[in-house]
Amino acid sequence: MNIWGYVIRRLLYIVPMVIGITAITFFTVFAAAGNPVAIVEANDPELPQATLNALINYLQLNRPPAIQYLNWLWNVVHLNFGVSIQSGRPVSDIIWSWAWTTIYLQLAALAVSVALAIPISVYAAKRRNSLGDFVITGVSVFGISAPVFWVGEMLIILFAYDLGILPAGGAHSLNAVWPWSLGDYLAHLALPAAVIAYFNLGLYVRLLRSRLVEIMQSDFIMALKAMGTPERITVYKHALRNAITPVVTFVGLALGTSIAGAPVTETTFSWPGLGYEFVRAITNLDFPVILAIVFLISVMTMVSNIAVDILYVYIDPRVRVS
Amino acid sequence: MEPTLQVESLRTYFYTEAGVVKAVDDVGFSVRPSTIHALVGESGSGKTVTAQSILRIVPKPGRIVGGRIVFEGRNLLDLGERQMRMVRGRRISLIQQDPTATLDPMFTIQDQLVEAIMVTTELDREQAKKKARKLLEDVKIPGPENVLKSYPHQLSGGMRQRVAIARALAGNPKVLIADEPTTALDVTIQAQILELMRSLRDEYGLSIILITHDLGIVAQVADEVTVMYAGKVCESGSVDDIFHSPLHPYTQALLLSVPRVDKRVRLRAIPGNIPDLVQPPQGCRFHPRCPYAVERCSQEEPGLEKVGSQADHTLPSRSVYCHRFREIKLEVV
Repeated sequence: MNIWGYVIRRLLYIVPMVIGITAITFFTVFAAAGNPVAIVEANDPELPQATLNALINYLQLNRPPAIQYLNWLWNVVHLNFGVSIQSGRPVSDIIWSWAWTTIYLQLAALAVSVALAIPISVYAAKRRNSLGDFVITGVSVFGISAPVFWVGEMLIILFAYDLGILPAGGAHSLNAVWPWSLGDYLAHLALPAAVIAYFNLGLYVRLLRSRLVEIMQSDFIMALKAMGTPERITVYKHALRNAITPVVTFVGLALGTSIAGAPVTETTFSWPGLGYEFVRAITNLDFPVILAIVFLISVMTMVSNIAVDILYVYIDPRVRVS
Repeated sequence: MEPTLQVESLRTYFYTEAGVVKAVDDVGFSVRPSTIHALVGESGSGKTVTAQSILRIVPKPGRIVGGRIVFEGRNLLDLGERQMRMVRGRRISLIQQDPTATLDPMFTIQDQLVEAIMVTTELDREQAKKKARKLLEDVKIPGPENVLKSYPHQLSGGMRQRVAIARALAGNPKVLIADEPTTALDVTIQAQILELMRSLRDEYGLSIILITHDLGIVAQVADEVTVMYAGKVCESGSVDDIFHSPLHPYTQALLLSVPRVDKRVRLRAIPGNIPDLVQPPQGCRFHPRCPYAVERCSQEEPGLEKVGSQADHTLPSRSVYCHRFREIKLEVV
């Protein structure tokens, strides 16, 4: 089978999916019975009625919702995501400026969690049912189940308030200049990245450990031991390579959705990223921003799904036949 | 002649939550140079655990708790892990039952053979590649170039088993343990693999420990046989002795339970089941299923008895564990 034909077909599926997802989002926001102009008015009661009417006209809020949605869609085809109701800035500018902070936060968290998940899972799998394994399982389950805002608050209390060694929020100090104030950026990155990494780490360790335990009991591992193969090769080359596939799926899918940022973590740490912006846009019913972010999340999720499928072909030779 | 490998009162227990499973309990036999020595028994008789014990790769919660495994003048159970690694693959190697699971699905045959060669010999990567090709020719794989480039799932079961044998030969071992090597294969492929075993014995002077439950295979290729039951040895002897004049009632029962096409006789299954190895029967472990059992069999465990070989006087004596083998006359139709 031609892999490119397959990829193109998969990419084409994105179009109806995105239309469906954004339509549902649009009408949900609409049905939320909010009037964004009323929020503008509430924020600034001094505005004359004529201005508000002009705004309603400008945003075409007086037209039927279906027409509004189709208008939005037509503009999106022309890469025009409209302007934010709250700030009046073009939505694409907003996303562009906020996405970057989210991306580097997510990538830092991902790198840390994967780098730690591998040795920790190998340790736990090799010493299955030992005290160390139980501690690792406990800490991972805690990481998955403890609410991130709570873990975040605890870290803020400990490191920012009690110890005073790390900032409590934001992406950098006011006077910081990239890249000269690298230390300042890293200090701000530490806590939110740690919170996201801890959550992911728990997931990856649970997944990788159980897969490793299963693989390490398989015949081919026994065969390698019978050949006198050093444990380093048996575990890190063979067992890990076989166990890693579900983790790749997880990481791939997580990367897609992580573009949306982690709304809760970003809000906890006032991290100026897409997640934080998303929450703000929802509270203000700033629907051009909401729709643009939903659009971005859905496209990225589907693209990363496809990327994972393609990656599978390279990590598991058996996939190539089917 | 000095045996190549001698197992003496080996005991391997599994410490499970349900209790201590005595999977191998006081097992002994010796394997002579350039012979195929069959370990025969039902599933659960301890054949595989014996093989794993020889290589000291018994999976948890199993542990070798006693005995000696004498090989090249050393007791393998006394070696450190590092020394033991120099025995595995280089001196004694293993072929497993299921050829679909014995190779790593993620790597090509060449990758896996080269790795095995580099682990068990001093060759560098280039030399190892040449040797990988030669190993495949040795196990009579047609078109070794294509097989080298393949992944395991692209090969048939018989082909994978040949690759597994080639890998087992990577370190030029003296002893090959073949754990049910043909069980998962169809009959024609089975015959080819057995033929290959025979030629490895004759051309390389390998001693092969062939683990099987199939007496047909034993009759075809084995030189000597050790019959096991519930973690114990019943008897050992040459293949002619075992087949024509079994001394242990269990051996007789096994022989009678083989379907025959040459005579119209009723197939006689062995009544009952293999015993629970956490609490094995007192005395002889076979006594609850043995038609010849008397009071003594259920109280006293039979010890080792040596007798001369009926079939061939140049062979070492046979050994048997049965209280009554002198009194009862066992017939095999």
